[in-house]
Amino acid sequence: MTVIPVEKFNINRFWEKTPTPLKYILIFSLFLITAYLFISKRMDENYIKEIDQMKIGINATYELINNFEDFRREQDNYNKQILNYLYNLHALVEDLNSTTNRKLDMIISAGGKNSKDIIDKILLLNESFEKLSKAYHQQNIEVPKLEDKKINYQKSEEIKYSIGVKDTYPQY
Amino acid sequence: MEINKWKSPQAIIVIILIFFIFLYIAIDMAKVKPKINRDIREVRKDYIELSGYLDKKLPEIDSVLKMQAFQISRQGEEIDSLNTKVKFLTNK
Repeated sequence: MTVIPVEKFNINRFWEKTPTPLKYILIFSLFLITAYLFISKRMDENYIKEIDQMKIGINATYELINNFEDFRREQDNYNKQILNYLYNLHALVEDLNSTTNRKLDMIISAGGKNSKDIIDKILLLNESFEKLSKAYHQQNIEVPKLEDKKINYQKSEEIKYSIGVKDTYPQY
Repeated sequence: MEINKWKSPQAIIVIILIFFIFLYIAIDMAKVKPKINRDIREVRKDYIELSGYLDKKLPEIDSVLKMQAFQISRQGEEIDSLNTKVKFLTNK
């Protein structure tokens, strides 16, 4: 029958009976594990945090370029529309100018003899004014509504796609 | 006496303790370090790709901005010219 020693545990006796080299190795190991937990672990966590930040930075750069592409497209269309609108307006002003001059000449040359003719010319003149008015109140130019979306480097959850999304961008 | 100490239960307990300490460090390093190295490699690869992409994209962005600046300046010129024309016509 096995007899379990139940005598009181004594740390001094335990320590006494441990070989001296082992005592040094144990103390060294305790220092090592403490240093590992306090320094190396913290460094690893910082490495991982830094790497995550870099990943977020890379994603944010892609997102920024993506937003710029949207902005470029919308701004391009808007600029073209404005230029087109200005050209049309310019042409209408020129048209109105020449029409007005011609009609005034004809009215003057009619000398008040042909009132029907004069009325026709005035109606034509009004038409030109209407055209110009329509051009000024053109509704088909839309101001681009760009989202006021700012890239946040700190919040990774806002990044909805992973690295490599650039493959979906149009190739130039 | 010293030789007997190495075979004592106390020595075995201390050896096991030391062994577990080193085992913990080894397992933890084997688990964490490769993950960090893998992540570093991945980020490095992505960074190189991003760098290449930016090398291609930045001149494009630059030219787009220049083109848009030109378009806006042309709009300004057109508006000025139109204003001059309208002013001229209204003063006529």
